[in-house]
Amino acid sequence: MTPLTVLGGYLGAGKTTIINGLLASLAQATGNPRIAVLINDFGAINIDAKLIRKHQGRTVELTSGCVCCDIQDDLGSALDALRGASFEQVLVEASGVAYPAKVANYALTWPGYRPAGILVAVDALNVEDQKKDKFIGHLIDAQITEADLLLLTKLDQLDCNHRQTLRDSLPTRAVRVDHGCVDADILLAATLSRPDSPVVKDHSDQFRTLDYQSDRILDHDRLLTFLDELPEPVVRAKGWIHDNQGAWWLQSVGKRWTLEPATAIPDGTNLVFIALAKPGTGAMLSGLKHALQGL
Amino acid sequence: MPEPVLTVYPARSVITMNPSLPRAEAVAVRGDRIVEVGTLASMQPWFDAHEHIVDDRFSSNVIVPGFIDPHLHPTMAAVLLPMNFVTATEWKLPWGTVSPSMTPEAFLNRVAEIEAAVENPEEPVFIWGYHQLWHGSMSRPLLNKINATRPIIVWHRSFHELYLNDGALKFLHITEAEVGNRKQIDYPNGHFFEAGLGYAVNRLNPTILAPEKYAEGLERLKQVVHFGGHTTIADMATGLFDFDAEWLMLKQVIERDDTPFRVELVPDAARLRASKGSNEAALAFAKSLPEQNTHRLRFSDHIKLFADGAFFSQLAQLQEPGYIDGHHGEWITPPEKLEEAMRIYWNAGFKIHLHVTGDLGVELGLDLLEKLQWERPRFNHGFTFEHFGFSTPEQVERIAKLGASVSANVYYLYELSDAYARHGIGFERASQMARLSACFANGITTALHSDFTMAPAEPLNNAWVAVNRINSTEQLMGPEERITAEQALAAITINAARVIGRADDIGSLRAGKKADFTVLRDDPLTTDPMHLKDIPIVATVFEGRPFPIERTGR
Repeated sequence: MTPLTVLGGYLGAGKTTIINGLLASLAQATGNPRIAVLINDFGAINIDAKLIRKHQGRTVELTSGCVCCDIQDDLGSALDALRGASFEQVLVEASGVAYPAKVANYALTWPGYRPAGILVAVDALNVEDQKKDKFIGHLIDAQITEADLLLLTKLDQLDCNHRQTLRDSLPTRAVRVDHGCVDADILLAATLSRPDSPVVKDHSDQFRTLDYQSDRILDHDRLLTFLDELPEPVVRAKGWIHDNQGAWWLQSVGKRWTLEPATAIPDGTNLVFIALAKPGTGAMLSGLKHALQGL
Repeated sequence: MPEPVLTVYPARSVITMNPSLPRAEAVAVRGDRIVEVGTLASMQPWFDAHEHIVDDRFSSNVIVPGFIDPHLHPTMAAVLLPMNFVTATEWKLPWGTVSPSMTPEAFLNRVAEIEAAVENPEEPVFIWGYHQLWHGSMSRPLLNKINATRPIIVWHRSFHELYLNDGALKFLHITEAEVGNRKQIDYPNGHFFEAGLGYAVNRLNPTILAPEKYAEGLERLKQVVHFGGHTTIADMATGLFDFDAEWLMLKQVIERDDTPFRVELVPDAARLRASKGSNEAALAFAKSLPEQNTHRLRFSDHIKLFADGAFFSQLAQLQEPGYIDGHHGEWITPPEKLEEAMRIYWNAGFKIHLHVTGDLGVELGLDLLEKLQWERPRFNHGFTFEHFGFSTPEQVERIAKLGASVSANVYYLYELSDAYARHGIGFERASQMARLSACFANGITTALHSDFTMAPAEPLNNAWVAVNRINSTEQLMGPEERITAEQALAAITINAARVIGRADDIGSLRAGKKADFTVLRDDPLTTDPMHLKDIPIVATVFEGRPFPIERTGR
C-alpha cells in the first residue's frame, strides 16, 4: 500500500513553498524516492523548467521520476489514476480551508493507500491573529489539533520572546521550516521505506539523529510500549524491524506511529530517529539507544 | 412583412404585479410582447388600428406573470431526473406525482415495483430519495431480496451516501478483496459514505454522466420546468461540472422551438478561474460570454461565488452558539480568496451572487460587501445573498443598508426545520430559517428559488411554504416570518426578475414586457393560503405562444 501524507494549513502558511522546495531537493540527486504530489492549484507551483520532463494537461512529470498533479478538488479521481503507478509515496496538499483529518480519511477509504501522517504548516507570524479571526479562528484551531506534526514557517520573522510563547501554545510537536527548506526526511515516509534508499544525512542544525542497527530479534510488546513513550523531541522515526511476531516497517510522524507488516527486507532492525536539537536532546537520544538495546 | 395580428387573452382576473395597475381583465399581445393590459374596452384604440383576435381559452382562469426560478441547476437536475424517485415527501413530476413512501415497507415495496417493471434484466435501476428518518435502515441484503443480480443503486435524499446490491457491486467492479475493510465503506451492507461515496461515484460517473443519459435528463428537466409554471429560470452556476460540455448540451436541448422558457446563465467564478488560470482571465472570459447568447440562453454581467458549505450536510458556517454537537461548518472558498474574486468582479461592474447558507456565511458576505462599498461605492449593484438559510435580524438590516438582495431557499424550512431543531441547532434558530418577513419589512428585494434538485421546482410550493411556514411534520415554524400571498407571488415573479437583472423585460405584466404568463385555475391572492401549492397550473405562455400543461397522475 502506498503511504499517503497530507500537508494541510491555511492560506499563506507556506504549503506551496514547502512543496516547491521538496520537488527541487528530490531532483538534485539520483536514487531519491519517486513520489506523487497532488496539489490544488498549478498557478502557485514553481517548477524549474530544467526539471520538467513532460507537461500534459494537469500533470507534470519531473526528471526525478516524481509527478505533480493539479487535482482541482477531485482527490478521488487522482488516487484512482495513480494506483498501480508504483510511487513510493503520495503527498496531498489539502486546500487552505480543508480539515486535514478529513482529507487523510481518503487513505483509509481508497484501496491501495495507507495513512502516513498529517503535517500542517503554520504561519508563525500570523497564527495568533488567525486564531482570533471570527471567520477562520475555529478552522485554524482544528487544523493545528488534527496535525501529527506542525511545520512552523516564518519563524525567523518573529522575535525570540514570541517564538517561545508560540511554541508553548502548540499542542503538538513542531519543526521549523525556513523559506520552504525542510528535509525530505521530515516530509516523507518514503525515505528508508526500502532497504536501498539513501538516508538524507544533511539534516539542518535543527535536528539530531540516531541511527540504530541490530541483528537481535526484538520483543513485540516491549517495542509497542517503547513507541508509545517516544519523547516529545522525536519528530520522525522510520525503518524496519524484526521482532518475535514478525517483520515490520515503522513509520512515526510526530505523535503517531504505525507498524506495517513487511516482506523482502534484510535481517535485523534498522531505524533512524530524528529529533529536534534542544538542550538535553543528546542525552535523550543516548537514552533511546540504551532503551532499544533492552527491547 | 405584415404586422402580426394582436391576440387578446381575456381572463377571470389578471394579476399584473405592476403596482400602478394591480388587477386587470385582459392582456393584448403582439408577437412576443404585451401591448396593453386592461379591459377589452380600454384596448379599443388598438383594435381600431390593428386586426385582432380574441383567444378566450383562459377566460375562466387567472393570468399571472410567468414564474421565474432565479436559482436552479440544470446540470444537477439532468443527473437526477433519469433516476426513480422514492421519497418521503410528495414530488409532482410531469410523468406522475410521486406519492410519499413514509415507512420502511413502503419504500422497499416501491423499489420492488419499479425494479419489476424494468424489462432488460441487466439495466441498472437508480433510486433516489432514501432517508433513514422515514425508511429505517437500508442494506445490501435488503436490496438483494428484491433482486440480487440486477444492479440496484439507492441514493440517499441528500446525495451524500448510497447503497449498492450485489448486482451493482459487480457492475461497478467493486470487490470485497478491494474494499472489504476500508473506512467509510461498509461492504457487507453495500453502504458508501463520505470518502467512500466518492469512491463509488467515481465508478458510477461513466454511467450517470454519459452524454445520452445527460441529454435524457435535460429533456426531462424541460418538462419539469414547464410543469412548474416557469417561463424563465436561472442556471446559478454554469460550468459546475464542465463548462464546454454543459453549454453545448444546453444549446442542443434547450435552444429549440419547443422549449417554453429561457435560461439566464450565471457562470461559476471558481470553476472559470480553475480552467482559465487566474481571476483576471476568468473575468475576461465571463465578459466575452454574451457574444455566444442565443434566443433562449443568455449570459450577462452576473457571476456566482461561494462562501460556506452545504445546508443539507450541516456544513453551513454558524456564528455562536453554533451546532448543538459542537461541530463546525466549512468554507467552500477561503475568505481571502473570496475577497480577491469579489473585488475583481465588483470593480468590473458585475452583479455578484454569493452562495451563503449559515449566518457566519452571511456575515462574511456583509463584511466583504461593506469593504467593497467603502473602496468603490456602487448603486443598484445587484449583489444577492443566495440560499439564506440562517441569518439574524441585525444582518437583515445590514443587507438593506448595503443595498443587497436576497434569493432564498425557503424549502429548507419545510424539509429540515424539524430535524435541525432536534439534532442541529435547536428550535429557536431552526424555526427562523429563511427570515423572509423581515426582508420584506426592510424593503429588500426578496425572491424565492428551488435550487432544484434541493427542492421541487414548483414556485407555488415554495410560495406555500413561505406563506404558511408549516414544515414536513406539520409544525408551524416562526409564524412572525410568514409573508403574505402577494409578497410570495412577487418573490416568484417580479422580484425574481430583479434578482437576475431582467425586471425591465419580464416579471410583471405591462405594456412593453415579454408576453410571459402563467395561467392558474384559482386566484393565488384570494384562495385559502393552505391551498396555494395545489392550485392547478393550466398553461404557460412564453413570448406570446401558449403551451398547455397536461396533467397525468399516477
